[in-house]
Amino acid sequence: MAGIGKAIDEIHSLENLAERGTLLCRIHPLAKVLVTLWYLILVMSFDVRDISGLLGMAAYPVILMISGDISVRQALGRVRPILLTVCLIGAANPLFDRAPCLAVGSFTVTSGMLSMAALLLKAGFAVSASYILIASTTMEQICYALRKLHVPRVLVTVFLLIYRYLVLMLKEADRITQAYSLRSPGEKGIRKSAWGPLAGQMLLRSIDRANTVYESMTLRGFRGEFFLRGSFVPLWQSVCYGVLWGGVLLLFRLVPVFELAGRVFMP
Amino acid sequence: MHMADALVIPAVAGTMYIASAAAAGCSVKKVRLMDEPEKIPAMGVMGAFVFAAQMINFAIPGTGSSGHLCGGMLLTAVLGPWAGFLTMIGILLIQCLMFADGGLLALGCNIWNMAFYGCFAGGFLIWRPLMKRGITRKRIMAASVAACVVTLQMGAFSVVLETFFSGITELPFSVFAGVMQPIHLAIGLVEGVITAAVLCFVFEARPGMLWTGEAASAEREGRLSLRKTLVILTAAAAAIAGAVSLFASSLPDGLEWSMEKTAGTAELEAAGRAYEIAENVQGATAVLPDYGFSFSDSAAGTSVSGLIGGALVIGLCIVVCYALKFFRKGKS
Amino acid sequence: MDVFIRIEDLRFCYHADRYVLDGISLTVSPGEAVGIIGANGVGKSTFLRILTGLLSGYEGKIEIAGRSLEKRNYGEIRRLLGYVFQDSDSQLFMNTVEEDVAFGPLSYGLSGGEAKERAAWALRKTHIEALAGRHIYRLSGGEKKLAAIAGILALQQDDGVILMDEPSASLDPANRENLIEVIKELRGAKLLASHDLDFIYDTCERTILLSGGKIAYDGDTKKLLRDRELLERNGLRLPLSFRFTGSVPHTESS
Repeated sequence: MAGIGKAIDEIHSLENLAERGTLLCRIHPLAKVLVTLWYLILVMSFDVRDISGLLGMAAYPVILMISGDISVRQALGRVRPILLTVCLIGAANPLFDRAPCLAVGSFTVTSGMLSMAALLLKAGFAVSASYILIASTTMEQICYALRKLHVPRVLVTVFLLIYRYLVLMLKEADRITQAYSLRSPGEKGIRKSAWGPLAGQMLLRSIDRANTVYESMTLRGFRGEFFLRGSFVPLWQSVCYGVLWGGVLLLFRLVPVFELAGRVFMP
Repeated sequence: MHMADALVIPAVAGTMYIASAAAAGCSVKKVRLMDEPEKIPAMGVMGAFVFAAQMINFAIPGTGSSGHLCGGMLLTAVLGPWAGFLTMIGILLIQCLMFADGGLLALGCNIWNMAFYGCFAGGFLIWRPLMKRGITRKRIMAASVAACVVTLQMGAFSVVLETFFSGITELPFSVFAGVMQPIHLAIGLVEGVITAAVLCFVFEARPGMLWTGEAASAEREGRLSLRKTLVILTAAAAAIAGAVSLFASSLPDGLEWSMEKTAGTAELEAAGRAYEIAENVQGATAVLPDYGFSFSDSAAGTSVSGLIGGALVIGLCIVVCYALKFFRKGKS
Repeated sequence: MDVFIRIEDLRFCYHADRYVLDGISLTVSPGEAVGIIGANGVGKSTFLRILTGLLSGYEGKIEIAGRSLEKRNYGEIRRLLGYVFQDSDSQLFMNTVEEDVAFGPLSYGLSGGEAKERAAWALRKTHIEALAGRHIYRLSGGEKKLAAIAGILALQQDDGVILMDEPSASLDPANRENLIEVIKELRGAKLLASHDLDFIYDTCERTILLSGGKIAYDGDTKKLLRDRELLERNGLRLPLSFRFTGSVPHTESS
């Protein structure tokens, strides 16, 4: 199953990106998480047809991607998992909403087209913003930020453990399905008689492993807590990062910057 | 089934975040009360297992297509609903951060649509009552299929509601629901059967491993009884659903609404002054002749000048960024 | 002579009818390296797991560092006693090497700075300083084994005991040699359960042979590993390095 191999590659490439140690990588993760959330809230709060307002929000991903050496292609490639849903829902808009509102030459742009375009823009921005966050912040740092936000310890610990064992399990699933397909050429998936045993065996092994993990934790003094540490740029720089972006984004949300810029050149 | 960020407005996303956080808070409390420290590594490892196992394709006989495991049901059957719910949150967070499946803003929705229904509705309303008189293969099959179908229907309907209340689609409610529900009925059936097959295997190999709800009755002395918590959660869900519908139907969007409250108008005055300045400058610098473009004010906010301005500003951003980078490289 | 571990008439059974360990008595001095060998299922792992406290309900008397092995002493004993699991992946549960190595000290209440120092020291001891920031799942099998040992060293430093369950399993020759080097440099006591007799020969002066729940031999490793008959009676074979010469190879001056 190619999907599993791809997933492992994706994890590797994200980790490599986040561990590069660029300035963006060393900003306090809490600042980055909050700015990302703030950005998403502002973007999604735009009216369904307000494309020129939305375009202003492009400044955030554009600036960070260029200065942080983050690939636009990679970022937009990640839109795939949600693209189908967004397109299906978006595609309905031009069909159901045909009120004309803009004419370019002989071509009439309907309000439905605008709302579909706005939806796609929002999807693109959301995916880019999340990618910028995860390409500059390791999972451990995100957990550190979550703890600072008072997300319960159990939840963060479980999250870290899932992440720790994710690649291991993906590789195991990959091996199992490869071994299966080697002995059953031409089959597209696991046949019915093997459904239970194949995944069930893997599940039992996982439970056994969980027990050993627990034992090794108790031997080293586990008391329900993982300790997270981080070394980042001086605090004031992180605060500046957060406040600056927070302010600029709010400004872009409230003032139609592009509208104004456009009017400078066009009556 | 994953909601994307683009499909929700902040008001809906926020409400669902609050609802999911409340459920998570209850679960954390429950898991703490049970005081089974060995559960924590089990949750982590099982979470990773479910994540990986969901990527395995199971061939559906006679169709040529394939289906997947239902994570919520599986985790509930092995870990119990509370721990299962927390594990699902971890899985969904990794899916949205690492694989862009779902989104950070829509995470609250996704937790609710998939983890909440899958673990709590499936676990308490279907799995536990059926397993009360002992586990058998038949009951596992029945509970698993029923739970998957019902919880997926609930989840799919929530997706429809959340999208609808966000007002981002022109798709009529009935059409949207009419498409979503039958699709997820089929998916639910398939996932239910696959999950049942796995659980039956586990049951035969290690009969004592599956959750039956017995542990839950033992910890009833805890501060929050199970029944009470369920009642609270259901009431919270109902209240939130009501609030969302009111909020979303009467107000186009939350931020606009709060702006109107604070500034008195939807447009801030600063914007108005800025328009004036721009109009003064524009007379001298108009480079684009007015040909072929016509513009109707009804298109909320979008105008040709806006689009052109957008292209210019983004272009400027790119140029400045690259210039800065170029100079920085030259220095070092 | 100092005694670090004292075991008197240890008996243990999983099922009431059959004792896996049936009357084991021995002492281990600080800094001593002891090999524990025996056929599969003879109770090597059970023995080690009892010492960690992971298996409770034993009969007899066990004292580690002067403290009786019982629940109320687990905390103090486990600070001095580390267990290297056969499957390193179950043991290394944090995401990066440095985090995992610092886990023990942090759990025992050391400050972040101290834990970091201890981790650095332990990584140096195990020759894997370069891997500090690496994700665990990106390590090779040999590196994982060393990281697991580092995690224990960071907690007990030089004055404890390390129990290892099949430490050399699935290591290639180079990694195996490196592991032998690391183990030889450790100053604390070591108990190594293995049926890799060459490995035991290279790391331990003293070896205990378990058979039928009892100690069949306790003494000098070289002498035991030359006794073909005793080994074969217990499901073991002469170490490869002895087979052709029939005597102890001349790696050590006799």
